[in-house]
Amino acid sequence: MKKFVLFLVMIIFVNICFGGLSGAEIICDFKYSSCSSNEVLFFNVYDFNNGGGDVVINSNVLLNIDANYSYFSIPNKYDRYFCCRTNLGADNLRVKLINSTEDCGFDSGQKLLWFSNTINARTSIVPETHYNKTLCVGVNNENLDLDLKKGGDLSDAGYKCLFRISDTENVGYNGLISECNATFGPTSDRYKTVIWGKLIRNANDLKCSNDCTNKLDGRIYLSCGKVFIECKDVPSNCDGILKGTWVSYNFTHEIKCEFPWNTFRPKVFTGSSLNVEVKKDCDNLIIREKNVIYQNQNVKMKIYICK
Amino acid sequence: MVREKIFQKKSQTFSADLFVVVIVILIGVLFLVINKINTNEVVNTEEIEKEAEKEADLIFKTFEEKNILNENGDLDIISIKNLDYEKLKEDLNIKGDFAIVLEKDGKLVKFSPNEDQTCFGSDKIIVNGKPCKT
Repeated sequence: MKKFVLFLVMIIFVNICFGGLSGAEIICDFKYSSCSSNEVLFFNVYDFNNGGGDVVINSNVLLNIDANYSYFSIPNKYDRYFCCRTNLGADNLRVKLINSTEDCGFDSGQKLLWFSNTINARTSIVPETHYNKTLCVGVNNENLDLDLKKGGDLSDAGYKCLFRISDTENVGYNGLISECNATFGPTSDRYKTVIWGKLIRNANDLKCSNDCTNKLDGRIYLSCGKVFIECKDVPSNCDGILKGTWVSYNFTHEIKCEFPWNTFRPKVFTGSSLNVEVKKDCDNLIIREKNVIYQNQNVKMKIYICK
Repeated sequence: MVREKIFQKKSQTFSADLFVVVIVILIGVLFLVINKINTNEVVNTEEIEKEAEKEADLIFKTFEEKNILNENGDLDIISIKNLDYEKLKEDLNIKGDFAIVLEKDGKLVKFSPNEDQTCFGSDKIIVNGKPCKT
């Protein structure tokens, strides 16, 4: 009996631990005041509400800015603080500025942004020759890694938009940062690349099955590729998704999150419930239907007849 | 005097009986009329449904003949999109307006990934808030 109770307690403990982790997320915000004690400052941003978005790594960097660059050395110019935290209590995020030739080298931290030696306050999301500093971001939790992605729409895959950045190739407006719902600026698509973040289970912590799902929560994990070779091709959009779920793959297609990772279907299957109405001059609406195959799926073809 | 009273009483009795008979007949007629109306409505609804069923079957049959719907049940949606709604309606002699919609597990299915078209047919029929495109 005692063993049984002990076993139950262990199961509950494991569930609480892993339940807590599976709900872990990164939360970021642009603030006017400095970050609170459970948050980490990633960088400061200049006046993005007016179509700006120049960035410095933190407010101290202002001291290093050459006074000749008067536009960038206005006191208190970079008044927005980009602060991030996790919902895991004391565990939190870490940032580190390194030379772009170095590796982040701690807790599998990833490179978030590249900076041009902090003097012109523009950034890049890819390494370029004149962007010789890079900001690494990692998570201070042995069971989790922070996974950063750039571009596309990864909301279906459980990624959260951290911020947006303008086209780094567009000279004049390159490397400007704004918030996720940015609608301002001289062109509506100025901040067109979304930077996504998601906390994922550390590979060492995963109990992977050979179908690339974690035994504890039944979800697919990209990190299982470190354990099973079948999982090395898991599409990033399937990371953290339940097996068999269709997720967005590109602009036109969805992919089925299931080995062998090559089942696609066009984006015709919406998530909206079918709702049919008629205008006033139609007294009776009669429905007849037939099962048909469309895009390799069984669907109903319905004919609505107005009488 | 006595004779006059007897006559008056008889006259009153006669008119009261007549009144009751008239009321009964009127109620009877009313019931008959209501019954007739209901029967007509049932017949009309049944007729409408039968007619609609015939028209839907005709559309399905035409699609099969045109190989828009093949024997395996595969649907060629591009051919449906290329049909002329008014011409199809006229050719098949369909009196009412109609619309064709695709559904999977209660959810709307678009006609193609890059377009918003969700139905083919009359704009009197509104699918998820948008009038159907012909």
